[in-house]
Amino acid sequence: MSIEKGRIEGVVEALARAAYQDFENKIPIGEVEDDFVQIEFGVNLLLEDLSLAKRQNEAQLGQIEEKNREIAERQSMALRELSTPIIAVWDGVLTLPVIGMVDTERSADMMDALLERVVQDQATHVIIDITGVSVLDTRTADHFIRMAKAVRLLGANCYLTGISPAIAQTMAQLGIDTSSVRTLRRLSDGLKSAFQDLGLNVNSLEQQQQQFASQPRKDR
Amino acid sequence: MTRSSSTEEVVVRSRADCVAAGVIARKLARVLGFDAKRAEELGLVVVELTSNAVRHAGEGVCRLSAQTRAVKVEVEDGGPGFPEAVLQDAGRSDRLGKEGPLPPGERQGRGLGSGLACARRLSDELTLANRARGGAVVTAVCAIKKDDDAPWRRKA
Repeated sequence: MSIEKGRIEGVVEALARAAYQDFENKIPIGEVEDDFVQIEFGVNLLLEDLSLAKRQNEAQLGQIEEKNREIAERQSMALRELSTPIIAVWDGVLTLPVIGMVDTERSADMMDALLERVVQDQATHVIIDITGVSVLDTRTADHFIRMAKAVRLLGANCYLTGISPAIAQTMAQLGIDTSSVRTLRRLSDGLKSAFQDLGLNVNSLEQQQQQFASQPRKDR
Repeated sequence: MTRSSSTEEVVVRSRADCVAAGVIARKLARVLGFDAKRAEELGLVVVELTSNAVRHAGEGVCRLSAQTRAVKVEVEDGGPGFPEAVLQDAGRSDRLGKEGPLPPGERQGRGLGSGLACARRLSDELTLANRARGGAVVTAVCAIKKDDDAPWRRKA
C-alpha cells in the first residue's frame, strides 16, 4: 500500500501544530477510501477533543481568576471589619480597642462604625483605647477628638484611654480643645470610671467578705 | 512581591495589599536603623500613597528603596492621574480644619480626604507627577530622622 507523500505531510503538520497548542488545523479528508483515512479521521477527532478540552480549561482558569479576585476583595473587607472591633463589655458600655497602623481611611471607617453602634446599642459609655497605637498623624489625632465629641453628641460619655507620650505631644501640638474629652491613662481606668458612673460597685470577693464580716449582724 | 538587594517591589490591588506594603516598609525601615516611631510613620506614608493608587487606579506598584539614612517610596499607577489643582497643592492644604472631613455620604468608603497631606507631613520629600502616557507617580523620601525644619513644616 502506497500513500501520497502530501497526505502524510498533512498529518505530520497537524500533529506539529497540535504540539504548539493549535488544534484548529484539521486534516483535509480526500475522496479516496483507504486505511490511511482512518488515521486521518482519528487524528481529526483527537484534535477536536483537544480543542474542546482547551476551551474548557480556559473557561475554568477564568473562573478561578475571578474567584481569586473575590477572595482578595473579601480579605480586604475582613481586614476592614477586623480592624475596628467594637466590644460591648457591659450593658451600654462599648470599647473600641485600636491596634496597629491608623491611616486616614481606617480612622474614617472607625468613626462611622462606632457612631452606628452607639445608636444601635443605645450605649451610655464609650471607651476608645489607643494603647496599641504608636503613631498618629496630626489629622488622625484630630479625628479621634472629633470622634469623641461626636459620641458625646449622641448622648454617651466618651473616654479616651492609653494615649502614648508621642501621641500626647502630637495632640498638644494641634492646639485643639481636648477639655471636652475625658482622657484616662489605662483602659481599666476607663472601665472603672464607667462602672462608677453606672452606679456599679466593683469589689474583689475578699473585700466583699470583709465588708460582710465587719457589718453588725442584725439577727442576734 | 519581588526581592532584590536594593529595591523591594510590592504590587497593590486591594486594601489588604496596602496595609501589607506598609508593614513591609516598616520592617525595611527597622532593618535600616529607623526608630520605632519613624518606621511607623514611613509605614503610614506607604499605606496612604498605595491606598490612593488602589482607589483611583484599581492597582499600583510600590517600590521601596534604601538610600543613605533614608527610604525612598515610589508609588506608580495607571489611573487618571492627578488633577491640576492637586498637583499644584501636593498635599500642602488639608481638607480638615478648613472644610472638615468628607461627610460620610460623600466618602463612599474613602478616607478623610487628607491622605496626601498626611504623607507630606510624615515624609521629608514628596513629589507628585503625572506620566505622559497616563497614570500618576508619587515619590516620597523618609529620612531616618524627620527634618522638622522642612519648608512646609516651618511655621510662618
